[in-house]
Amino acid sequence: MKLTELNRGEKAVIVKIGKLGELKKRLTDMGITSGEVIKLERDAPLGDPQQFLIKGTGIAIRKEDANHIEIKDVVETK
Amino acid sequence: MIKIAFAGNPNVGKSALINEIAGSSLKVGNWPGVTVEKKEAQFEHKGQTIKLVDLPGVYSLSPYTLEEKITRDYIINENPDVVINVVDSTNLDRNLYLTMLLKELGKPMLMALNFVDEFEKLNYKLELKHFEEHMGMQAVPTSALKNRGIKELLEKALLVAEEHKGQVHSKYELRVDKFLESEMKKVKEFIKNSDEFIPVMKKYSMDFITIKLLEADKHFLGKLKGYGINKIDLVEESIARIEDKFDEDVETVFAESRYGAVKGILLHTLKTSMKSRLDFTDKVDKILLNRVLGLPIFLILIAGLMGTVFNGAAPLQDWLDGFINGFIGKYAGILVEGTPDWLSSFVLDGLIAGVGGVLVFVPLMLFLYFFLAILEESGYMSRVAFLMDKVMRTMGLNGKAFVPMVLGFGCTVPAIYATRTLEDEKSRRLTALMAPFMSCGARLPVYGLFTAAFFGKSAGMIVMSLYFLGIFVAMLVGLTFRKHEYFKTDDRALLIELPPYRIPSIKMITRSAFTRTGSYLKKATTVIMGVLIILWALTYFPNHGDTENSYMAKFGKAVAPIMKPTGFGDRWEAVAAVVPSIAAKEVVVGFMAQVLPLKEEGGQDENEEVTTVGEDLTEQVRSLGVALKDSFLGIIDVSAIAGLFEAPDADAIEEQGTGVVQAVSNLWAGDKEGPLKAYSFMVFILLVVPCVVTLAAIKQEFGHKFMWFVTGFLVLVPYVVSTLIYQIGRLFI
Repeated sequence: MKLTELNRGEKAVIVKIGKLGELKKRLTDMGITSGEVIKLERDAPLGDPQQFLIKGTGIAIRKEDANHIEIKDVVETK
Repeated sequence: MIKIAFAGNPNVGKSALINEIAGSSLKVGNWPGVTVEKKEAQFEHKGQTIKLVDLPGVYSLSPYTLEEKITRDYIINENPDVVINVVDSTNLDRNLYLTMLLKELGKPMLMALNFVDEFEKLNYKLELKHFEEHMGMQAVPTSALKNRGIKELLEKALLVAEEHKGQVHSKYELRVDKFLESEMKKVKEFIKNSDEFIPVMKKYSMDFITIKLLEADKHFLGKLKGYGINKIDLVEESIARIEDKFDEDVETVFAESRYGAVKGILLHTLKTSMKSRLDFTDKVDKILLNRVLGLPIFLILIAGLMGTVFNGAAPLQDWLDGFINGFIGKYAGILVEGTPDWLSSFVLDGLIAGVGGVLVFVPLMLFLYFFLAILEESGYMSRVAFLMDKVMRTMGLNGKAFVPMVLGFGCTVPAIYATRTLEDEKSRRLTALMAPFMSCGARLPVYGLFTAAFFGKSAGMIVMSLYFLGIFVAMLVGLTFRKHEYFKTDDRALLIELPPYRIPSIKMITRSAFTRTGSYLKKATTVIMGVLIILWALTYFPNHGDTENSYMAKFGKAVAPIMKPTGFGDRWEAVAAVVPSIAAKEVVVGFMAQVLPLKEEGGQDENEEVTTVGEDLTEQVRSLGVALKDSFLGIIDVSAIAGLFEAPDADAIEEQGTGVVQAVSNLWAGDKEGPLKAYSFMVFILLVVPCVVTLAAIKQEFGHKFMWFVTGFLVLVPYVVSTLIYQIGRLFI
């Protein structure tokens, strides 16, 4: 499933990052690679972008980009 | 001289460490040719000159962002004697990725495990000896805030520099999986046996060349072309095999190997507690980024910031103004007595008024940079981007561009400098193009004068309409130019780190405010003063103080016909007023007072008491005390924010003498289009180049060419808009 399908407070494992061009490289640089656990913290007040927690860091990306990230093993954390 | 370069992710405390080591010698400039901030410090230590260079914060050394290019090129080309890799010890997991990349460059390195105080508070434990062994470098736990490990870091850095003197490469092997290793070996063999790689190997480490070749790093391949090396079949084949095997691009495969290596090392050396370093941050974010509360809190915070900055600075600005014009001006006046008329006018109206005009901004800058530094250092600034991204996107910008816009309501100059918080040059340009349309505080006196003369009771509404018109025009500009190649960000998506909240150190913030203000002063005293002196000359010559026949007046009269379509072109006084308004908007009021005939109750000077230097000086010190008190009250008086958007009351205008209001209303007395012409004039003042200080700021940040473009743009836009308003308005009168 896609990263955008994650609900608030849920965690999942990243399977693959699709075609995102340069952004893919920048995501990788910030630790967003396959096999890592990613958690959705919250949506911005206007609905977009979204805030995630990965490798102990809070990052924000837009939904249209999160749509290219594939995940599995969704776990609810709270 | 020993060169020490500091490299690390953003928000790991590099600058704070450098500040601690070097004391107050930190200099801020720009990297040659680009507007990325360059911080350097130089000092003497045990008879040696030591130079510290703060490289821009980066996540990697890829060729994509300017910061990454600068960092990578500096380390490769400038050969620092040692690279200190500053890492956030509470987030080694991610920070060490950059460490791995830095190691590939093969330069002498040392690690600063920063924020060790937080690290200990979280009950984390690191087996330092083992960690150092695995990483292949020494690591020093540090905390700039608590002044820990600072001396040790410098001593060790000097030792490392000494040890590696003359030796270009330290040894480094990236542990990768067997398949990747065999492919790397093939490439290495090839490099070793190729003559054309001999000069390349003098500059780059073997690992770096191999990995960059396999990653098909654009930047590096470009460099190789300079050595006459183009496409290499053997490498291309390797790339194809790797991508086939891993079903990923090679860049990602290497990235994952690096992360794998980091994971392995940390598994054996680091023990983390259950307590998360983000507990506090998470609690704060629950409120500050809340779906309902997030935006209101943000708006209140920004309004509060603006109120604090402008209300806090105003008394000090007034004092400075009084000190320069009333005190220095007075005694300079005595000094130049008896000298030719033009010389005394030059000193008093040109020089002192010029310096004054520049210095008066200093308290404002200091306050603003002080609070901006708090926002930056605390970690809130990146949250602003998160909150406002969706709004700013419509204009082709990301959320971070919102901050400069808001600051623009106070003063365009800090707004221009605040574009520094945007990482991408094109967004910065677009933001700098839009920010001048936010109606700044200096335009208020002009609105006050003209609304009082023409609109009476509806003055408030008229002023409000001007604010909204400014916002509207800015948005139109954003929408128009966002697709233009010169401004369009290359579809770069939003990716921001929301760092943990940290309580910023007072020392750090103060230093940041003072260095930034200092660099403003340096520019201001050169560029801006020159322009102000020219303006003085234009209103003084050729008839020695006879303003009505000055070059400025002649210019006004000559240009008036061109301004005809805007409505106010029928009065040369209004047209000419636009020119000095570019020195500073407030000047319009004084200019009108000078050129329009008004009935004045003279003899003010005669009533003035004779005072001595001592008395005057005491008075200045006393009023400084009052200003400091008022400034403090201004900071804590949040309710005063509302005043920022109010039309200036009668008092302010009365100071200029009601005569001016009368004289201005006489501009178009009996003309039924009078109010419309006055409105058109105010619109022009709203949209035209805010002031020379703004232009200087734009030149400093974006260079000559862009400054001239903005200047032309900020003359054309008001011309078009004023014309539209006047011509359409006429139809209804």
